Amino acid sequence: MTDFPDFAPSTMTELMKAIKSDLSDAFSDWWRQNKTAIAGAIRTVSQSAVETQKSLLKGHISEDLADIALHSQKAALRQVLRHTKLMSLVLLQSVVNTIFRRIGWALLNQTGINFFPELIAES
Amino acid sequence: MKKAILFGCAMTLLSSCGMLSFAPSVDAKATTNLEDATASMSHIAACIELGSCAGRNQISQVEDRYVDAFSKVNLALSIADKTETSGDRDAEAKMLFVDEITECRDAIKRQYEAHKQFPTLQNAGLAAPTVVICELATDASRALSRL
Repeated sequence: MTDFPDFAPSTMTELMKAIKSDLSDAFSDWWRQNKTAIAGAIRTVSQSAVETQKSLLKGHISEDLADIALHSQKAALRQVLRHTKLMSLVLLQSVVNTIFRRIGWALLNQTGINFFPELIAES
Repeated sequence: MKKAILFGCAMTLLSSCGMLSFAPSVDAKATTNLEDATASMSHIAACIELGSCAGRNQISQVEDRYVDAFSKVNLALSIADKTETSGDRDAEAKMLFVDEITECRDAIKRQYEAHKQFPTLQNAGLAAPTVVICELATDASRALSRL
């Protein structure tokens, strides 16, 4: 794919092709980052719950401490759900930014006007 | 002609720009603070797991780490609170982010109180969830600061 500073599409097809490629990269990045984080978090919380249960049964920890640990595990699961929701919004924003960034560069390279300075940092 | 079409597209997109904000961009300093806090909590978790500072009699070995983590999370929370939004949708994202950091702060405090109170936290299943909670808040900050 053409680098942003050289991107000057002459047809809408060319522009759409570039946007599709950018979006594919953005989705891949997002998925790679989130699938490991969420799966890892759930695995850790599950292991902790088993650990608490075993230690309580063996009498290594008190009921009060087990209660605090379970409360913390519940909080971690709540954090996972909250994080999933937030990352969905981040993905939507990333899609918007990806599209606008590509269009912004096309406009900048052809008109000299930077319509999206928050997305395009000229060197 | 080509420039006119592109200019028209840009104007249309610009006019809808305000409606297309789903998540705010966050100052990268929040990420640095959360990374530091998470590193401190990981250190404490490892120390508890290995048994070298598992209970109330050894908490002094890691008390500085707790204080540092708590302080860094508070700084991140202050940055998150000051993040500007432009509509209801990105305000929702900001609220979720603030809640993630608050959850991390509460988890640190909860673990600290338990560490001061109980003879051992080893194999209690308490330290790892705290790290998970703070790691997720750090991931959120990293993702928002890249927007």
